[in-house]
Amino acid sequence: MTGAKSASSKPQPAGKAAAMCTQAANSHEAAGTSLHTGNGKPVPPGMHEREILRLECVSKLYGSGESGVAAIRDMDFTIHNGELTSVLGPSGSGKSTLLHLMGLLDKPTTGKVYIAGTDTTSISDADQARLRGKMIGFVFQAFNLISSFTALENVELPLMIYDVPKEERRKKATAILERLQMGHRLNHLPSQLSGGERQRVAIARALINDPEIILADEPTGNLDSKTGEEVLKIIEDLHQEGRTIILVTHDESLVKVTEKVVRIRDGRLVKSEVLV
Amino acid sequence: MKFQDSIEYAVKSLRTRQLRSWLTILGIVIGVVAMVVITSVTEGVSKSVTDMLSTFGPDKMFIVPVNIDKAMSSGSGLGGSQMPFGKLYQKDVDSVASVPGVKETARVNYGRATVKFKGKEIDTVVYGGDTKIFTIFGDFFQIDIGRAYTESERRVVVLGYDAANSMWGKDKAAVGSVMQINGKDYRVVGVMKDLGNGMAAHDNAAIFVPFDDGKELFKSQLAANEVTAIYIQVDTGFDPNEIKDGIERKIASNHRVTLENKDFSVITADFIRQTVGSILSLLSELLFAITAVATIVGGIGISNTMFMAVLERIREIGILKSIGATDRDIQLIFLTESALIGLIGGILGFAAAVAILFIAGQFGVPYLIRIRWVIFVFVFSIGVGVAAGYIPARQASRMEPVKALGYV
Repeated sequence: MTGAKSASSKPQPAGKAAAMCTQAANSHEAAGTSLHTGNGKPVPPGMHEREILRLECVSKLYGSGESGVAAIRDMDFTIHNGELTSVLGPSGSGKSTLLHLMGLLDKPTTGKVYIAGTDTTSISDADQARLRGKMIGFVFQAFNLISSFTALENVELPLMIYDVPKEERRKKATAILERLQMGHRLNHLPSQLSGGERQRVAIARALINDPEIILADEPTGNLDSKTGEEVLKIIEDLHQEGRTIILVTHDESLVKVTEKVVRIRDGRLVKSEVLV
Repeated sequence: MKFQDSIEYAVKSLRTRQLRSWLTILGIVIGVVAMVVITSVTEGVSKSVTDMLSTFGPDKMFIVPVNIDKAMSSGSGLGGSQMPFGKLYQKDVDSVASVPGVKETARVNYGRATVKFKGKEIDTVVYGGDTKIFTIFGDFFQIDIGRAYTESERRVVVLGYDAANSMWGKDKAAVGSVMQINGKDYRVVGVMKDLGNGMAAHDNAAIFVPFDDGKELFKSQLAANEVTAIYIQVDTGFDPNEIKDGIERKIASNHRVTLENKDFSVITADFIRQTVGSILSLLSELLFAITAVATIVGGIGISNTMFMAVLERIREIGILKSIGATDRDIQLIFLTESALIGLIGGILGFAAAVAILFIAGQFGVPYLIRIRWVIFVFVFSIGVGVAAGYIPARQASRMEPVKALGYV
């Protein structure tokens, strides 16, 4: 965290937030370059090949009127291809909501979420689902494997949804599981696997469609520290291969593997740093 | 998601909850069994009537001393203003014989009598008929062994198939045997052909004696010169309907009644076909309604199971959505599952129904299974599954991914 220096956005009074955001959204430059380097200047365009995910003035409100609660307010940031970013915040800070918005599992109340240049708020639910399946691989804290399916079947599932023939998906899923040292557990049910093994299966499933973005939600949260380290190592390896990874966590110690950190609190972006 | 993959998925899911899946399937099996068995038996009865009628040509008819239309419409006759039962007499036989176009008539009295053979006594149906009953209804009362009795013979008997072969335990009453009917000796001269398992099966246990012997046997129940039924053979080249009308007019005038209030019926093959047909169609409509209810209950079972499956598998739905499944994919998965429950229920139900019918057939229940029902049952059971699963599947597909994943 030695290179962390600047804050691109400070907490704003609630009343003024909307106005601030509208202004930002209207200014294309401001919206697209909210991740800043340590010296306060925008990241030079050549440094990353392309923008892969951009939140533009995103707010998520639960309920309405007086009793309405904003889980996310005026969130603006951009993630580029190949970055390993951590989204850090205490519990209740809105980081899960942020993950859902980035992963198209939820829709923002206002603002826009761009994935690879596509405005996801203006496309149909079905197109969102397809985009989610092709572009985003989820790794959850609770692994979220389907209990009645074997490791292999769980990994095959995204390919099944995309009509890949049985032979091919079996081959692909086996190869990925073998790469993650799970070749000896192909036909085990999740209940027959250890936590670390389950998370490997979940990572294999996230990778099977070769997504642009891996969204990991507290991936080590349910694991002991040794297994957690192993999973973290896998994530680092994936980053080395050039994958874009967003790691959502409350655990400060995970930040060490990431290049960027987006700190949030009370639904607002507190600070985004580039760690060198 | 491809349809074939959704089947694979559904099979896996159903296997995980085996007991519940089977219980749900059982609900459909019961409905389908009821439907197939009842329809098959109804059709079987109807076919056996048709078969029987094929031995009952348009040139044959018989008269019974009851107004069948009235008896049926007033139930047991209690509801009518007038009892539809009457009596036929020798005078009526003579009148019938005088109708132009009537070639032959034969008189029959029937009732029950005690028959004793090799020390065993059995109460059975006895026909006391003119020997012409064997020629007029020759296709039906076919003599297999021996011969019919002649007009001049007395104290002789023709046995139904069972009356000769199985009624006496291991003893058989062959031609030449002697048996006692109400205490008098009779000699067996003929044995009839097996009438099979159809509507007429009960006549296998009947025995046939000459008309005068019958008259003596049933003396106490019959009025002077009364006959229980008159069999008629129509001459070729005459319209049976006209002859029927002629006979009805004659007997009605003998009995001093109008045709509407007649106390007898002239029964032709057409009459039986219409009467049985209307009873069967009423019966089959009623039974179909009952089986439809049974199947709807089975369908509610599927709905119930699918609603539970949706509730239990909320997280699974969330996972599927997180890996790119569209609402349509989710709907396909759940609909396939409920359709599969219906289909398996349909297949097993059909198989069980065939087995039940086969066993019942061994006990003489007539049935008829049509190949097109196989298709109907499968389409129907899948249809019930899809209809029952539609709302649960829609509910599943519309679930918000975040909620389904258990975050909210």
